[in-house]
Amino acid sequence: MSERSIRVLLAVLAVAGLLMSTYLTWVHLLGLAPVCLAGHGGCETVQSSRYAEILGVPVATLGMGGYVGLFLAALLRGEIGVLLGLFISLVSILFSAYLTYLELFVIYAICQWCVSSAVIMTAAFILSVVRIGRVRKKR
Amino acid sequence: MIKQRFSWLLSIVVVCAVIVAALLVWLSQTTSGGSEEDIRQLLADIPQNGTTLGSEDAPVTIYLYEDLQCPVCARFARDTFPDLVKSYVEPGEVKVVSETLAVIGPDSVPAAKAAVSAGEQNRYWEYSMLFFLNQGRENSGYVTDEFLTNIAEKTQGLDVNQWNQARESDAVQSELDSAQASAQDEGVEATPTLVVSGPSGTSKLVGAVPVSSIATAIEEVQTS
Repeated sequence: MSERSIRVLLAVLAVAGLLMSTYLTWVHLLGLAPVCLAGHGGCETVQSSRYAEILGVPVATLGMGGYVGLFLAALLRGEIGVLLGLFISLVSILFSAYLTYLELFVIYAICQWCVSSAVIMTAAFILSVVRIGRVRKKR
Repeated sequence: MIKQRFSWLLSIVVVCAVIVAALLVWLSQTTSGGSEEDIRQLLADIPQNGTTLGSEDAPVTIYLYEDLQCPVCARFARDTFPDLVKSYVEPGEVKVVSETLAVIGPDSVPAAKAAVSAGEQNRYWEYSMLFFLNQGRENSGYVTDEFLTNIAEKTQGLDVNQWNQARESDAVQSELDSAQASAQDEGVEATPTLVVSGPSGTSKLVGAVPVSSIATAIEEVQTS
């Protein structure tokens, strides 16, 4: 897979994640219950839990920032793009691991949107690592 | 040389990412939605009588229809209720009466009984807010005796043996029935619903409304 293909895939993941986190921010700010495809109530419980905000900022909004950064990383060529993509995706998967722990063992509810975001960021991290190899080969 | 520089940059990025993630976790743990101590401080020195919080002489009464399993009620308790208490209940302008419902499902019943039983010792509000702080997914079976007793033990000033006996008492069941009947009379269709009642009438609000909406409703029912 070429670096260009990886960047395209990263951009696609970033747009998907941005749409998702924008939706979750919107429902959070309006006090609405997010649509949950299965496991009725899980998304609402997680979104209404005390962990849904940090310093008054919805976690979904932080996610929006992360996806915008990931999109920028996909646009940027070479070293800077690689480093930015790695930084954002690594922060995100570590924080997603913490959020998943909260869902499983503290809140006792699973939000499919959060799981989807964790999957996207894990894929972005793997692509970022592969991208490092491609950039190194070029040197 | 260039490869070595890139490796160094990668290492720095990884270390920075771990630090930022740890900072986010720390902020999430320390700043999210108040702590048990915040709840105790909020309710300290405010008169409680059963499920009523605030001075009996307050000119405005807010009837709060809530189900302890309701996630939006938990959000209201966390985001709006503290401001409501500080701005209106503490100065004696408003009293809040919880009309505790058990409508969401099987887990709502023991939860409501437990909270209302704490109200028998005038500890309803601390108990219900601690419950909301530890709320799980609706009807997932998390409302066990152990869960409820754990909250009772954290509720300051609550005699746990007395609370345990009250849980199956007729008085508590009667209070729940009364709240249910009141909800039907008021046409309550969702939780939380706030019925703001004052000298000039009543105003109904639904959902985790901000304190500004409640302030407007209070003004409406106060003006004659």
